[in-house]
Amino acid sequence: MSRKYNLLITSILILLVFIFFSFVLFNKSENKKVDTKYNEGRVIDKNNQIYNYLKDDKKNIVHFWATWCSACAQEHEFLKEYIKKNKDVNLISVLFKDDISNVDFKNIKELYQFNINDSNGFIALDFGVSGVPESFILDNKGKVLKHIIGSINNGELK
Amino acid sequence: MKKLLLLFVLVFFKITSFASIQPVDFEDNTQLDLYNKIINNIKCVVCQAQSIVDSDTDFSRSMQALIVMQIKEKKSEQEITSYITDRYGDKVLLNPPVDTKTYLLWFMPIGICLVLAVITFKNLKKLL
Repeated sequence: MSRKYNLLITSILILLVFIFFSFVLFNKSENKKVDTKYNEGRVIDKNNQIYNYLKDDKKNIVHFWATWCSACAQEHEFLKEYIKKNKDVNLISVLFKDDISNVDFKNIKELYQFNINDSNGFIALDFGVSGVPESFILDNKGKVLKHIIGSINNGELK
Repeated sequence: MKKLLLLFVLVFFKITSFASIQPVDFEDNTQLDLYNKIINNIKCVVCQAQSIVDSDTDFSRSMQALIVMQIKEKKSEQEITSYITDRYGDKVLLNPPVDTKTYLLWFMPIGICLVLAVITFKNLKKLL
């Protein structure tokens, strides 16, 4: 009786530990995107000039990257090929906490339709970015359809 | 003796890095208290169980600057915390709220401790 009882208690304990760790490790709650100033599709420069970067007839992708990020450099090669094959893409660059003089604009000229410099990282925080590379697929009103953490690949852009 | 002294220092003196704390100029101490309260409850999402005060990452520094900006714009603790959790989820808080999503997280350890206590109690005679 005592042995059966101990076995039962041990099983319950293992089950509880399993449930606890499953909850901690796999509980990925969806980030809400509300009242976000920048992903409405507008940015304001130092002279208070407002720019709209979203296009109605295209797939809008906001891409956070930096020159110091090696994964981003590899990703640029993939994106160049992707843009050549998919003309309906509006790719927006957000340079994350970087010195703009480090950017080789000749290299990315054909890649991005719009360039934003996020020197203090506030635009990234407003989107809920934790590091680069990260990308967001937005509809023409700025609603986030997909949040891609890490490098983009073909499967994620479908 | 030296080993004992070293042990004493390691046990009783917490070594904390203040490298990431930026000097902040607030209007009054209420704002400073609010700032300290918020930054001590926000987790650095690119670190392991560290608050944005304890880590020196770009993320932590940007988040600190953003909080300073929002406090200076006279936003309340609730508004600032909501702004952050809306974007990063409750997992960004070091002290997440107790709700239906976090019941297990809060009470499961107590359950495990209770089960362990029952096992220990039942086997007390054998152990003694």
